[in-house]
Amino acid sequence: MPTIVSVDDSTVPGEGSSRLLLLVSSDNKHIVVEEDIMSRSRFISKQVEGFEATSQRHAILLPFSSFVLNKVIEYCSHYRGYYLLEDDPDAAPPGRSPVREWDQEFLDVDRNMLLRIIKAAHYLEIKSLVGSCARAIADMIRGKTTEEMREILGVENDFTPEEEHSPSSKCTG
Amino acid sequence: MSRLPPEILSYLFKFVKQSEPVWGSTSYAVSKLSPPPPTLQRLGWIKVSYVCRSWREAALDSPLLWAHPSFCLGIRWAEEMLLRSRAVPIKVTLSNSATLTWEIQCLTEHMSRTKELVLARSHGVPSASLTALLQSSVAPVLDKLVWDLHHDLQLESFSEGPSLSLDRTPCLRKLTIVDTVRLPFSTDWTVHTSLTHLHIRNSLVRPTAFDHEELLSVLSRLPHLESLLLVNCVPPVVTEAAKRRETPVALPRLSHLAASGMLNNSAFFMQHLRVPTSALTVSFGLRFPTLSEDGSHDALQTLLAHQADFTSPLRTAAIFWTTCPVRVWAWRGRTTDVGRFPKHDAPDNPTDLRLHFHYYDVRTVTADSIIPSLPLHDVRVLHVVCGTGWAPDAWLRWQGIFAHVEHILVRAHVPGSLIEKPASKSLLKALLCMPQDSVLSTESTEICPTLLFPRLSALTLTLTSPPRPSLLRAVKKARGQAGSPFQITVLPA
Repeated sequence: MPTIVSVDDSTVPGEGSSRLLLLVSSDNKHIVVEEDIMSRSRFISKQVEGFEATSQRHAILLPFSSFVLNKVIEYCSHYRGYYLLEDDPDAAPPGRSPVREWDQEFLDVDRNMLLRIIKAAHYLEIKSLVGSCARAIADMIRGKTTEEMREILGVENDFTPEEEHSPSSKCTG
Repeated sequence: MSRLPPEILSYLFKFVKQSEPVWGSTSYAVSKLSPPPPTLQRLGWIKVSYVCRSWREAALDSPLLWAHPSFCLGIRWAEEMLLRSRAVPIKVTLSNSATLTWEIQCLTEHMSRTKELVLARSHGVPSASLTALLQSSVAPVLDKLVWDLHHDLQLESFSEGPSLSLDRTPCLRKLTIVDTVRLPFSTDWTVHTSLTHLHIRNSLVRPTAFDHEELLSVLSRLPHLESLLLVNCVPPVVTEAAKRRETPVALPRLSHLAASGMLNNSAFFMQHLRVPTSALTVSFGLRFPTLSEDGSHDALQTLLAHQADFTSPLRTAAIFWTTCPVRVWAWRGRTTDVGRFPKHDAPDNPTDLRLHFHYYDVRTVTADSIIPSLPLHDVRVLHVVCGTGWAPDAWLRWQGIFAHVEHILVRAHVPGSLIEKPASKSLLKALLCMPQDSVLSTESTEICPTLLFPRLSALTLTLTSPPRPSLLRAVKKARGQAGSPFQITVLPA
């Protein structure tokens, strides 16, 4: 559960066709965003439902930086009002498909940023963005050896020599 | 990276699995020509479990990743995958004849959780054991079954195929049967409401071991069918019972129907089906190109007039030949074979033209099959229902015949796929006849958009995701070149 703090309704209007939310990043930046934009996030949607149940609106504290949060908001703004199959909990999981071209440009960031975005998207439960990030990372490591994968993604080999070559009792590769 | 939560890693591995299947499952043919890759590389996506501990744990704790066990790495790996998939429904593809006996035994043990079963084998594999397996097993979660034993067509050694008791497969939705001589059903079932897709395809037209009455009897027990594909397997009309049948079989949920083969058989068959007018596509693949010469032309016209309500504004029909790239478009209750029907059969000048492009239809259209003399000069509204592939140059041969089009509506046909395809940009560029790269011929790049749609006032794109900036730039550029700038509207699907 996220930490929530009470905010003045004058700061975050609760009326009108496009209500606003106050998101607070881990570097304590306050970002006001339209609720509609963030409705792609199931996490935010659940928070808003909670607000409606208690008739109180709160700022939502998020455990990632404003830089990452702004990227996520940029993504959600771009797809505002659009149906994305991946975000439909009732739809069948999408099959093999390439990263959308816009997403490709959007995710043309360095490795660390990409990993931060996917973590944020996972936290916010934005499946389409998690999927696009995962596809982008999968593209980075496609056809690579395990050693190359470690190098590309900065993963440390923490296997013992015995473990490394026997992932199970039966199969030795 | 190792600190990524297991759920994200599992998701990531799913995409790695899609792009790097286990060696052998896609490179089988290549394997005979080139030496196998190093052991770890043969594992394909499985090698992620060799990167670090957390990756391995995430992979081993994701049973869905292992739910499509591969037999091509050998028995030990297949057993390991089945173990790791725990109790989740599995997809099984039998394709390695070297371990056939073991594969069938393995499948028997796991039939209760088999969700998809694809039997695809090369020549000479006995089908009796597979038939016996299907007839003796209960498959409570089986959703999709493909029986494609790919027999040697030269020998015409079509198999008898399975004999399914649908009571044993209560969840079966999709059934594809290839090159069998009889219907794939036993008689000991009554009504099956799960089956939505029945595709029976034969590579050759050859006598079937069932007749019209039997076929219609089966269909009458499948009231929830949504897609029915019968390729080269519609039986000839020989039985008196079939001729006497008066009540058509109702398939109220059918949205796609294709019956190809001999036209008269298909026509007779169609006359005994009641198909909803909301069906999106009714396709007839006709085997022989000599349609207008053997009198079949009249039969087709009669058939269409009788069966298909093409006056309905929502109805589109794609009718194509399998052996020649000729197509029939139907609109306003009339039909026209663009390439072959006599000119006097063309409809009166329509004002609202709806074209439905099938993926491979457009790909196979040739210059000769597009006749620019069609009376389309009065078309004001052009609807384009997009699939996923295009032959942009086909549009260019339409120069001059859409002189009065005022509004073009382009609608994505396949949700989630069109806008991701580079071809969609090619379509729009071709549609508006803008300079294009190598996709179009040199001469086409000199065509100005004002020549093709000089009166265009509105372009409406109904897309499944926002258009890419480059696409919008291209469209706006075309608008700038047009004599009277047209309005662009982008709507979400």
